[in-house]
Amino acid sequence: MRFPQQHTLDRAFHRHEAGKMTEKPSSRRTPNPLIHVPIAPRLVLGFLLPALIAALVAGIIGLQSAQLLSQESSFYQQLFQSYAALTTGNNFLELMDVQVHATLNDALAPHASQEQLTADQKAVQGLATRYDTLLRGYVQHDLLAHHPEQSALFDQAGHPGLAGQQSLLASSALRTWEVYGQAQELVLQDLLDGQVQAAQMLERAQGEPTSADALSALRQLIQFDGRLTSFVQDATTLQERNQLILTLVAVVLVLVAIGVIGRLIYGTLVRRLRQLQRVAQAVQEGDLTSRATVDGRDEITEVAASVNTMLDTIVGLLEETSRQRDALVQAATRLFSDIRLANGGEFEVSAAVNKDPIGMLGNAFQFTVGRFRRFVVRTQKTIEPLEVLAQQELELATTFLATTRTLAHASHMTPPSTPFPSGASGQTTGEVKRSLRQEGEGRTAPVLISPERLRARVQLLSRQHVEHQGETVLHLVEQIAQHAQQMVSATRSRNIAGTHTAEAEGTLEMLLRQLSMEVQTSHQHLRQQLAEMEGMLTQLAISSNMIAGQPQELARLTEGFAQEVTTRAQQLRVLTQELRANLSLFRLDELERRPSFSTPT
Amino acid sequence: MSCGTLGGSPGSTGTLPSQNTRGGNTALVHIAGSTALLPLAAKAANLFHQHYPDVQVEAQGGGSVIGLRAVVNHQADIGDSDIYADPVLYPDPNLTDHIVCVGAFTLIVDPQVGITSLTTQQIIAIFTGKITNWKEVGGPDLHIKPVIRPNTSGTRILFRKYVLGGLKESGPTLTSDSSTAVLDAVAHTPGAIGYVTTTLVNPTVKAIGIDGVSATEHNIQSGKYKFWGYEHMYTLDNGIDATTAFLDFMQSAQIQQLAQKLGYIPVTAIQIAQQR
Repeated sequence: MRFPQQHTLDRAFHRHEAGKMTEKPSSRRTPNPLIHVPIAPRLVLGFLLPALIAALVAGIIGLQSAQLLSQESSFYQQLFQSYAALTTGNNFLELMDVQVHATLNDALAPHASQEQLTADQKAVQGLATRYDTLLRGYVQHDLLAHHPEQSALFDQAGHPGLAGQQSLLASSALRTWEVYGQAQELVLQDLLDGQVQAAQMLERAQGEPTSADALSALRQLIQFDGRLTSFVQDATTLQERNQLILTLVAVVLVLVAIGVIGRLIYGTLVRRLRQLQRVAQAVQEGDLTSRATVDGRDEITEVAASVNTMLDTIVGLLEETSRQRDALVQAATRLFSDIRLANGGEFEVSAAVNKDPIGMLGNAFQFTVGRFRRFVVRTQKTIEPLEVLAQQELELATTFLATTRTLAHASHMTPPSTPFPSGASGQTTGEVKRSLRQEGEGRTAPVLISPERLRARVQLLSRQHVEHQGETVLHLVEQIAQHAQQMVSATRSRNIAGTHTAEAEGTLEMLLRQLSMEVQTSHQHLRQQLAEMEGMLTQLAISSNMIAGQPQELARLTEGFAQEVTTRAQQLRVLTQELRANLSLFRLDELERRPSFSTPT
Repeated sequence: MSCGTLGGSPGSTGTLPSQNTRGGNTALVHIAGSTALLPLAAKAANLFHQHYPDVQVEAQGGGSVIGLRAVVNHQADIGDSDIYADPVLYPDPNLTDHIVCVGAFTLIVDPQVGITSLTTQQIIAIFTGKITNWKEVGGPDLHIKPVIRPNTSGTRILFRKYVLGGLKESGPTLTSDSSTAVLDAVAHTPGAIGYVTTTLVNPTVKAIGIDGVSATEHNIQSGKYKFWGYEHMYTLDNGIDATTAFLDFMQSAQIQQLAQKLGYIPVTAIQIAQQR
């Protein structure tokens, strides 16, 4: 009934039941949205994305490199331009100084023409305007302060404050130029006013020093810009180093990104496959509650769902099996109790009409029990007459034994001629023997007579008188024997009443009387011859003594036989009683109420 | 003076290679020149030595022209100056200007004079000897005694360029170019007038405005006040680590704040003014 795996299945089943009730807590983190994408696009994504990232990074680095190059070149270009402009400015300043002195000299000349002076003045003013424009343009556009990324680069390159210093120098150049310009204008004004001496004095006292200042300041600015080129070198070196670092970082980042993407893809593929495998493993080890996590909308999800459905089906089958098994066990238990009841003699069997093997077995059992019950009933019915018969036989045997004993006793005590009051089977032989013995008493001489002589004597006797009497006696004896035969048969039959016996006895008595008379008659005839025969009979008596024990032996055998029959009859009765007692254990009364059983189908 | 070659990055670290050593392992940076910049230079030298114990910075006065000459003649690493180095006098193209701050100057008078401001014309008249009594400019009847600094004074040159318009002062000049000497002279001479850096102004003298404008940072930034000059630190051998480090240190926020505290105008303020 119980299979070896039954416990495992039971456990699994119950665990499954428990699992159904308490839904597995989803300890997993929020599912990866990637698992909604089929595997093929995901793999493509996994390969494309790192490639894209790598390409992007390479592009960015290349772009930056190009930018750096262009930046560097534009930087140099700008520096060169500003440097050239400032150098031009320097020339302007120097030319201005020369021109102012030339103008003064022209004015000092004895015949200074006003046109010449005006031309000189215009030349100076033109130079001044150009220089002013140039310097202001430089200050407004070319200062590092207007190019924060460049000044930041210098800061990083270990040259902080360059922009500030440049601005200072530029403002210094501007201020000195303004002062010089004012002085110059005053000088020119004095010249135009004809105050050549004053102009000369002013030029010497204020124009020349301020011009020197302006020149000095401008040269410092030019020098500073010249120095910037070497700083640019440092800055670009630094930038190249930064770019190298950036490239390395980018490579690392790309690797990390590829790793992350790989990890994501891995997480959405291998980990879930592992999970599926773990479920399969768990089921293999008997844990039927284990279920695959069904996340997303990809192929693995479908497989996981299929596995879960399969497991559900299996569990359902197991439940069904378990239910069937329970039913079988129940039926078997019932059958077993029925069998136990039947063993205890109670034939009340609940009818389990199932189509399963147990039901069929039960039906077969009940069918058998029905048959057995009918057999018992029949046996019980047979027992009663058997018991009666045993009783009767016992009684008869007892009677026969008593009679035999009485007869055996009587054969020793009664005289040989005395007729028997009641007929018995052993009487005829006893009578013959006794007659023979009485014949033998007449003879004194115990002469050995041969049987042939005796027979011849008897033949002689019978030829004269005895023949007829003997026939009569024989006839009587035959009748007696017949009656005795009837009596014997009567004793055997239990239905024959005693009246017949009495009738037979009467007939027998009458016959015996006749026989007695016949014997008396023949006795007289015989007396004379008996004397003759005495001697022979004496001898015969001797020989008959030898056989005198034979009737006693017979009686003894008969008694033994009767005793044997009695004993057997008693045993038979005891057995019959036992059988009855045993059969009485079966509760047939209750059975009677439910006599039929359904036959197995 | 220095036998060191160029090398290493400009020092911003705690230790510097001793390239301009003058005996021993300690690098020495010698500063000479403007007395107007001396207070800041001296304090900065001490602070720098605290930051870089293996660098000793010596700051001396002497006047702007002395400082420039010292640098050109390799007698000093740094020459402080209120004035520009004339390319004619100092033609070395390696002479490099480092503007560290702006020095404001003011006219100071004997407190007895009791005026608060003079016009540029009045100043010119006073220093050229056309006005000799304070009562002519609204002051007490007191003889004006201008204190004229020697020719090596950067302050005097600035005064001539930016206030006097190139005119020459007349009168006795002081024998030594020292701002403190001017201060003492003005403080102890009745009716005296002089000019000095605003950093040294103390209650013994009275600072007066020019054209009604006093020497404040705001007035200089806005361009109303003209008696001011860039404070230069000239160097000849660029790339000496200790010197470069000191010059960078001069540009640092710490020194610029210190300069402001001492009465100078930090470069940042001037830059902002220029940007406007």
